[in-house]
Amino acid sequence: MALDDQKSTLKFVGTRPERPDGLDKVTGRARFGADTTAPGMLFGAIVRSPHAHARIVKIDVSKAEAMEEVKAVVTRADFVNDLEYTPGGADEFWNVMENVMAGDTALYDGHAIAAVAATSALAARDAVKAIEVEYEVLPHVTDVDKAMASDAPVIREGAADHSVPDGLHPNVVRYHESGHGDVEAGFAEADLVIEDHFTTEATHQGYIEPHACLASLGMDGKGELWCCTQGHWYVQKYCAALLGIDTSQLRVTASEIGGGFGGKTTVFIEPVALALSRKANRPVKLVMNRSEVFRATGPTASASMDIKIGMKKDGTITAAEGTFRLQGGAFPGAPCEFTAMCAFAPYALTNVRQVGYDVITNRPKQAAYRAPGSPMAAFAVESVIDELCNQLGLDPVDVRLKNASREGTKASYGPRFDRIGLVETLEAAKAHPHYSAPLEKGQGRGISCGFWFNHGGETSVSLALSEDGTAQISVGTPDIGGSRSSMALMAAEVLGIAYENIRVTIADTATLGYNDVSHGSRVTYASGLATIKAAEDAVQKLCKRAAQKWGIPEDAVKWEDGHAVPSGPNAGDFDPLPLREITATMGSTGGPISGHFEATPEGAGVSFATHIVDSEVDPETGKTAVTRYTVIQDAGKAVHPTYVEGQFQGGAAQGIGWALNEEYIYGDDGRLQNAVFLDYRIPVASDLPMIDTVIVEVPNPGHPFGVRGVGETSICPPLAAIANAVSAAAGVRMRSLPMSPPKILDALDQADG
Amino acid sequence: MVEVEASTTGDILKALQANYPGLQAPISAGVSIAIDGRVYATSLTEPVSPDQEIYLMQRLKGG
Repeated sequence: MALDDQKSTLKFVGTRPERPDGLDKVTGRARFGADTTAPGMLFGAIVRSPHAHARIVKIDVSKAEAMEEVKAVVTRADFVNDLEYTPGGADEFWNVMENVMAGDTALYDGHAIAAVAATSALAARDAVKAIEVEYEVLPHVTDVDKAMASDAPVIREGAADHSVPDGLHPNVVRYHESGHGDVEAGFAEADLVIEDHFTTEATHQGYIEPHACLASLGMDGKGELWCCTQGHWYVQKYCAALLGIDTSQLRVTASEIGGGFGGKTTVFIEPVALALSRKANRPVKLVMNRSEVFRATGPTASASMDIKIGMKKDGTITAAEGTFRLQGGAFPGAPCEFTAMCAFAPYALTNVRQVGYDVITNRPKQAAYRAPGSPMAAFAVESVIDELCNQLGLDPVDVRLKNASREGTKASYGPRFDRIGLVETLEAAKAHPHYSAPLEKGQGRGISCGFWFNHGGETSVSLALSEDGTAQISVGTPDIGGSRSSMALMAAEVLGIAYENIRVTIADTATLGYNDVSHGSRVTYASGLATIKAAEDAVQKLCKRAAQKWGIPEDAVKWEDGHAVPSGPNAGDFDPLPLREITATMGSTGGPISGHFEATPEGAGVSFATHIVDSEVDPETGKTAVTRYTVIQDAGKAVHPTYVEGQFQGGAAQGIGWALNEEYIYGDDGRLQNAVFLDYRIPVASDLPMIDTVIVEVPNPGHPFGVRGVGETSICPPLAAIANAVSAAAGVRMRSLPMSPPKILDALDQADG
Repeated sequence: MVEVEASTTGDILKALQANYPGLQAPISAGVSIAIDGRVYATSLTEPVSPDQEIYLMQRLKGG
């Protein structure tokens, strides 16, 4: 979508008004996934596999069904059975069905096998224990490198798609290769070539609110679903497909959301609750506990990576090559192509090649986690660049500036960049007091760049004016980062009425056309663009009413600061007509005034960030601490800067957890060993310094106000920036995340010889 | 570098699938198209002209 009407003077956009959901959230009035009830409601619970890989020989539900409190038991037989299987996951329905409820094989520890609905949550849990499942345990594999080895158990024959070259293990299900130039010639030109191996473990998004829903589905195929999700049209589509009902007969309403970060972009329990409801003919509430969230939702992929980069003594990168192996659980979908494409995107390279492998293992099906695939790539690549700078005695910001991608650079993944803001973030980093601040003894400093594509997606927005001159907006993208506030600001900018006079509602699936999920940092960009266009549609109608009143042509009226005014001296002499005067009589001058816009906006604008981190390491215990952190990121245009800063800080905080402590730990038995927050260590307030932020604004040509998505790029640099800081503090290169105390101590021991 | 006759992004994909059968599977799996550096994730209706740089990528999505 080309935009030639970009607005440069803004009155509301860029201000910091109070958040519209603040009072609801601090008083407990906000309703989250588990906060709704219905008359006659039952409580659901799910039977889960204790095995990493096992054939399901028999499921005996007779004892559970005999319990008085139990009103329904479902297994895979209660869902559709005609979904087509396609290798590589091009058609996700089959994969999602298999993940939501196992067919003939349990594919990971925690995989759903059956479910019950009972009159109390306690009775439902008792009934789960009464269901007897006979398993034939199969060999399993949970590590990405082992899953690619020739002796690895095959998880699903025929799962590889067209992209996988011959000769690879059947667990390699997708393959990506891209680049340009001649990397071997480039390495030959280098004064120093470093090749190294890096690994990252799977981490969980760690959203505080577990998945929860309330489902009602009648024998007539008509249903209602309330759930915590990042995309209720997606939920509607997938639930309808898995239950064999018409999409439009299922109305889905998104609750308030206690975090998602990509992990709530798919379905887990919603189809199960609907199946239970259909069988019991009563509403069913289903709420995951934390252990279920860890074992059976979608953590990020883990990675094993080889990086080779050549550099001249002056800092010029002559060639770069990366191999990225990602495991994404028992189904295709690990974002190997994004890892590969993001890896070298910050740099203008003549010779570059990247290869990605999507590998299946006996782990839960991975889901998106902020910029899926990019953070681990940055960790590996930026660690090698840091090491090159160290060995050549070069300043790490200068080297990145020297090689930085700019407008017109041929990106490592192929096309030429449009207007981008990487250089501006690097220049801001160099000028920031943090970069030149002295370090204390035992501390180290690291920097890293990061890149993410951002996304547009299907979007539909409606805006309705009220008689009193206020406005209500219906958007279809759940508010996961302050979007209700930014929509109101952008509509205020167009309508010329106060921010406080606009209410934004996340509409249900019966109200608007299909809206893509709140993912890909797309909401402020795409729903924002649609909101602006819907407001402009309403303004056009307001001008028409003024023209009718004044008896002049429609095109002789323009809109200024909330008023219809004659477009010029020849249009006539009329006093400005405020919006509220037009809406006050709209019922008798042509009817209600609304605005609408729907499109798939295609100008999201890629985004870059540079992070600066100081850390210290206790050589006795291996404990690390982040002592100072600065995020610098291009937001295009910050609509509500406080929320933008919050996104920057949130990405850094989650990155600190991923870098230092968070990891999925599997035992030899293939079972997850740390499925509670006590054992899975996310950072708490006392682990974090104040995270400083700098908003760089290089306008995105694809948005009327220049907006770029900001939600994901902030998690791209932290793993690398922290690893570079910790490596500097420890005096030894850290190549494996998380850099937990045992790993730090091992690295120090090895360095001591 | 390949050449096809097309006036929109959708025409490009149709022509590629017709002229290069080996591209049917990857295009069916989903591609995004960059026109002069701007990435069009899904659109089949964007106009294209001979002087533009067109680049096909695996389809973009996000978290």
